[in-house]
Amino acid sequence: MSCAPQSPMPQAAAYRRGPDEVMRLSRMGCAHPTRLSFLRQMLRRLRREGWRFDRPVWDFDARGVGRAVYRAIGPERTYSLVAFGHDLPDEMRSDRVIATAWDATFTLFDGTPTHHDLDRLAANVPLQEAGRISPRELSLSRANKSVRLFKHVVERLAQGQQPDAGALAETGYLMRTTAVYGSGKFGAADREVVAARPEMRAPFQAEMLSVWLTRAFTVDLVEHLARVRGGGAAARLDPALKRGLGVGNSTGLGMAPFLVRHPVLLNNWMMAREEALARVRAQAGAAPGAIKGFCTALAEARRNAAEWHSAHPVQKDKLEDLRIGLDVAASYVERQWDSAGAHPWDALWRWVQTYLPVEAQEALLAAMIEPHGDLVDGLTACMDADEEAAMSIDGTMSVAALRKLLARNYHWALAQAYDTPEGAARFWYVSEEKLEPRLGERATEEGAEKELPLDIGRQAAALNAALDGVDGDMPVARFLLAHPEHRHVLRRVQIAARYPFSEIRDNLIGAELLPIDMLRCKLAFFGATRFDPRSDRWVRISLFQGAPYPSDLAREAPQ
Amino acid sequence: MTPQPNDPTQVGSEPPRDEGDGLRLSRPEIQALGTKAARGAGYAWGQAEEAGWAAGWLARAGLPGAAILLDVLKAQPLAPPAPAPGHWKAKGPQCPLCTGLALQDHAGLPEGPGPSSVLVDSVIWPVFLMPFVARAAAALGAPLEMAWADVRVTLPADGAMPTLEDPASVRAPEQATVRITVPDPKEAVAPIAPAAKDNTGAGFEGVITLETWQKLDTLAMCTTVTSSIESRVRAGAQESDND
Repeated sequence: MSCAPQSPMPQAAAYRRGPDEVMRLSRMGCAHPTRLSFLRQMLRRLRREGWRFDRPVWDFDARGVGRAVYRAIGPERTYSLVAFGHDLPDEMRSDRVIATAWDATFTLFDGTPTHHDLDRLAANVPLQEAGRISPRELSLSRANKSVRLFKHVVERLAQGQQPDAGALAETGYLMRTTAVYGSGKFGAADREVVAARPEMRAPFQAEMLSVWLTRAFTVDLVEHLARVRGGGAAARLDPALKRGLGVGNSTGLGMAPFLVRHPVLLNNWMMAREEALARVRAQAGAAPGAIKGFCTALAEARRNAAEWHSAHPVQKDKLEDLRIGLDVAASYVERQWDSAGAHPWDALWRWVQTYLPVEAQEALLAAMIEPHGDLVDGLTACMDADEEAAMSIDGTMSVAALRKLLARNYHWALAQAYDTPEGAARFWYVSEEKLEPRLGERATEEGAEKELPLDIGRQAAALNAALDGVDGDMPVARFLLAHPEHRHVLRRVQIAARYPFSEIRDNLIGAELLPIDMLRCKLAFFGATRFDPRSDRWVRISLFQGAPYPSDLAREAPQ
Repeated sequence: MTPQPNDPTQVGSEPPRDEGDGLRLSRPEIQALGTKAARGAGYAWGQAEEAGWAAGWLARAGLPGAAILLDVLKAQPLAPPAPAPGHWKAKGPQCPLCTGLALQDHAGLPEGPGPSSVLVDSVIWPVFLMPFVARAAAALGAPLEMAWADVRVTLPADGAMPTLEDPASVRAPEQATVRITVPDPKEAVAPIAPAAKDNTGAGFEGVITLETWQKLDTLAMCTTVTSSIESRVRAGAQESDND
């Protein structure tokens, strides 16, 4: 990893978990957000740099149709969320990419939009994929109401009352985004062009800013509608209740291929998190402040687990594991953990690994990192990636060296049988309608000949077989001349040699695959909570629940 | 449950809107469209990804990358490269994608670009070799000069974009023999751009015609699958979104 030479704690390397443990879907599907998550990084920066926020435009009618502009004004640059509210009939409301209309649509504008810009955006943003934005825009997104809760909150506030706290907690958000498009999509700015800005360097910062400002918009909109209905009698949302609301997100398979298509980025995210855990474990002692911070984080994790609901059988079992595991951990920490002993964090982690289910282990990881900002926050600078530089194949590598890399880093792939119905049960493809990534059943569905190259394990095994009998001294450049079909995976094998966490070490076309495991891993890096699968490939989550609003940021202590 | 609460019954993609001077695509859009089109045209995924990347690279250099890629894809079938020290002889017009990839892969090997020059016989749309020779230069840590017809371009050693005095003349030759050499520092023909990478977006060429877009999109759509009802339903939630 590019940041390794600058590590202030070289001894941490000995404590790092390896890819065979970390890069399994059974563990990636138990990922929890940490202080390195992208929304946490963004909030820390906004606070540290004293960003200011205002809402120069608010023009909504009694039905919630209109436009608003929310500005985030930084030391060097300003970004504006441009929000459009629509009157959406219930029968049009769908979270799927196949939808053509939404309750609200958004774009993050680079700077302060003029009226001319707003008119241009008003003609395009509400159309989403069917519209066109420009390099002045950094994201394009939309949201749908959480219908029952939204209605309830408006009704109560209009009557001068607060909404039912239980109902708020159960859903957790007033609106959920159903897609947040970034880098270059539909004409938006190329990430390469804005990534040089410090505030945009970390992954998904434009998207996170857009969603955070969207959260403020959702509250402003319910309060506006309550005022329209209740006039002077209407109440504003109680700040504590408001704080507990996030923005929901509804997402499906479209997100899963990302982790496979961006191996260097995946490595850098995983490596940063693993290095953070290793640094915590490598400490000789535990400072009282860190112990206190850890206990607070553990208590918060237990509270979160208690409030986290899902009806999905897989997630229900995981939540049970999580709650029990965290209870056991809290009891152990209180009664048995020798925090004054040698390497107490490492001792704690070893206990966690031995006695807790994976779901709780990963939650403890987040809690252990939490009080160690000074030690780990610098790692956030290592979570972006120059993916283009990693794309070049080293043609001078010998076939013998390539074979060794396959044996060392793809043993999980070579051990798998792909000629059985279970081993290659699925295939990933792009649907003709709306160009949505999907997962098909090979035995019963048409289209496997147009499969996307996400079957990494099978490709690695095929490359290994093709190398059989080839002269070990031959440079891979010559091998590729005769075998261009192996170019895709050969590049990945070379990438994995330098980036140990670049590859998910599981069969992505196997019968046992749960795509939601891939989604959970990615969403945890975003900072998502309340992971709630609605099927094996569709999930709802919450972002920014419990986080400050723009108006809170300046007066609160950094987190 | 309503399987399709809002099915637009729409197949395929819609062209980006014409803003008066043609369609305007971002670099990631050119790269994504180019990748899918190259795959749809029959290249392996590993090659197609680099074809899309090359189209985006050319656009960043101020050239119509998407249109050049379409020209390359239309020119099939083409001869594969035959790397040999000093001279890559052709059995027919050579494919610039396969040849470009081979040049990049062979950088530092006896057959590839390096201290001695390489002559590559009759390549179709030699401009398409540029991104790959640029990578070879970065791999070698030395600038490489490409010369074909009356064009000479220096690809800097640090991966920076070349400075093109006259993009139209670089784009023009449909077929040419290309010589690739490490230039004499005193005779470098084009000034080497000062920045390691041009991240400003200046000079980017994202305008393409509707016809080019449609042809690339037709190829790209060859990579897609008509959905079964089952898969369409399974891709979403199992309940209504109206809750």
